Amino acid sequence: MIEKIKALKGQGKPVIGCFPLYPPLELFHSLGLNPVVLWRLKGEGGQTGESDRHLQNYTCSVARHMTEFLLSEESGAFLDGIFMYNACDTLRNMPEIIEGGLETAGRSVPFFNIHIPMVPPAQTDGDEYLKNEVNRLIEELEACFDRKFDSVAFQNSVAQFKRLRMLYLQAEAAVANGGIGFREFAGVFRKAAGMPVEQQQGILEPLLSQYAENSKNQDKAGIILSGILPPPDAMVEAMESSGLRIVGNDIAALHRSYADMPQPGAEPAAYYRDFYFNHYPCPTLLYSGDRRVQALLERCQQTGAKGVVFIGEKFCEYEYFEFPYLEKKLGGQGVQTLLLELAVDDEDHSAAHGARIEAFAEMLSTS
Amino acid sequence: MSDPGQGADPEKERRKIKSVQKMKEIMTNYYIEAKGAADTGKKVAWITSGGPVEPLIAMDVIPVYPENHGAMIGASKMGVELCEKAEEMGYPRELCSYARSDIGCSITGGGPIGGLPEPDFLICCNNICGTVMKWYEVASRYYDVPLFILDTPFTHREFPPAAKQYVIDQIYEYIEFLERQCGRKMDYDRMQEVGRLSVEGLRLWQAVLDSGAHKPAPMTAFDAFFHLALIVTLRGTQEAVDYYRQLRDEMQERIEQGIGMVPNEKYRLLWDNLPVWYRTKWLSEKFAAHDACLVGDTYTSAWSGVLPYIDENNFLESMSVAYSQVYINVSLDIMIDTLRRMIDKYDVDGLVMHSNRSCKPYSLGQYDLQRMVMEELKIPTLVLEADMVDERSFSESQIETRIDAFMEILKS
Repeated sequence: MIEKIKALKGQGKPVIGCFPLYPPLELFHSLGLNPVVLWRLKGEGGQTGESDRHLQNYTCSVARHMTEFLLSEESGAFLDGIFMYNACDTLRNMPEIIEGGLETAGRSVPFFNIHIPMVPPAQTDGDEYLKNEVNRLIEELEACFDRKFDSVAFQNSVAQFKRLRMLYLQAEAAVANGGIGFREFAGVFRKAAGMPVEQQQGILEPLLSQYAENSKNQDKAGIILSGILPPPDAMVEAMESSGLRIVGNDIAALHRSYADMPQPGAEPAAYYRDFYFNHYPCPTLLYSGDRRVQALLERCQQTGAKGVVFIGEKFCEYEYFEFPYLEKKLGGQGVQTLLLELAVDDEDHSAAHGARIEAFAEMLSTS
Repeated sequence: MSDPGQGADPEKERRKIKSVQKMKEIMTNYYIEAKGAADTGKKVAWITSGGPVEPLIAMDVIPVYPENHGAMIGASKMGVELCEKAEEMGYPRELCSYARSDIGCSITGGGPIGGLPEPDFLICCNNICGTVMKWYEVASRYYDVPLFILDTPFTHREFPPAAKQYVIDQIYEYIEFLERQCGRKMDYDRMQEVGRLSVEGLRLWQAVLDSGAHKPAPMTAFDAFFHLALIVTLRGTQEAVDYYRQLRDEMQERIEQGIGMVPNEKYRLLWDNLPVWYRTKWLSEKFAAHDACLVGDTYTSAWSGVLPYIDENNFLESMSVAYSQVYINVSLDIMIDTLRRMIDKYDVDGLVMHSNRSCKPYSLGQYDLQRMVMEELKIPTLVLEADMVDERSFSESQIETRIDAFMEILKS
């Protein structure tokens, strides 16, 4: 990621690091900023020594690695701004923790944040408040980076990201019918992550033009992967070698991020109202919890998946609160589930889940 | 505990807080009424500990607090058994132990009072955490009852007018929700009176806590943890006002009579975070053995800490700001101001922070607060790793060693 950020800096546009899940990328892009979602930072420095000075060990690995990344001289120094919004309890104090850490290191980066209304839209009309938050963000960005919001530029940015989302969905369809393996798909995602939207399109387009609709391995049991981040390759390999075929995903960094196509428009507040309130369900968008069962069942129907494998991110409370309910509801519809877990240093040991994956594959093959 | 054969230790008896018995009576009657609600036709609402209870009181709904229940579970050392029950259901150990123990209780009907009365509806305010929203979602599905969510934006620097209006709008939606659930309109005169009682109760509670500033302190934070229950559960009632007036008067008498809770109080400490409910007595005795008294804490102060935001003449709307500004819904920069004031007010020698695995909003950021306190205020600090209800996260030997080492620093 650090090399990508350096490359972005080389393009002359300010780089804004965004955390977590679903930041208003189109808005940043339209203002001539390079937004980088700070995902999957494991391995950037390996250790979490600096993060450990600020966060207890019962913090999820995503937050610990992100903190390490932002506070390290090597990587954090290349960001011109940091954006966060209210996605989980871990993030409540994170802006001040990062700011304090940077201050100690003699550095300073402007912080931006908004509060996404966490009320069910059917209960409370949060439109006006969200509109105010989005407009406040625009004003702060304009002042900080000496830019002026332009509705035409915004519409162009919306179109660019819509195109990217469609490409990802096409790639997913190719994964579902066996034309592209999930590992290859996840690899492309990793390669594209952190790049400008135009470059991401440039990576996905060749992939889609090359793949053949060949319906490979259709005899294998199809599964959907769910979780925060794509699992490590070793875990995917363990699944595939056990006779499972990953035909889709419900991963926050993947499907949940690009599944929805908000109504294009020139007005950011209206666009992000649609984006957040009608977002593909995710436990971090607290009001969307009740839609998750239906969304997962639809994913299974669309892809023919017989099971869902949840890759739990240790200490991610929002995800874990939903597993028992999802397990029960999906099981009631004949969809089998398996819960695996990844923690801060589990990346290299994920093959250890092999026995459970094999047992799950066997169960699916006989069901 | 005194030996009946030997007679009570008069010095110990003198130090006991007499209002304890009254508190037990009130809480017992409260739970009897709540559990008998089906017979009296009253509605029962489960509500989060930081949620605005006053509209419920005004609508004659019985508020029930799963978190208060969680504290009772912890104090009665039933946490592990009930948490394990939830874990068997698929809720892992990393989740909030209030939630786990309560979910375990819902399934088994176990716990210190045989489970909570079933809710007619749920009120969830995320000013204390987002976890409660997932927890209440679970409860809403389990009991198949409606859930009202009150979203209070976190304050990083300031609480802008748009945020205030957003919460005010929700407060009125909350009242409409209650009117639908109860089948009757809100009596706004009654609401205003409940608001007045709430403010009076909060002021009295703050006066009780302020007594800890006296040397020697007539009560400790461990006592405050116990006496907190009414300001949480019955805030806005005459009963709570009467009780805290009695308790405040008792503290005043103790001050006048020179009664300190810790004999030979030498070291004054401030506690941060929720209590370790199953070890309050052990911790109390451990610190007291070092002549150390926990004279204040950030947790029990959180309810009355919002008093400056409340306008009695415009209670409903001003409480939208107050409920949004509770101690853990504001940034570290604002929290450190509170800590500075408390350290100054109570004239403390050290800060004890409970790094509570169950409560990320309270705990993540403590390391930074700790550094600020040590560097700016030159106050020694101690971080204890534990959990509020789940005893499996409490290592007695490690904590004992850390407390001893900390006290040595204070004594040196």
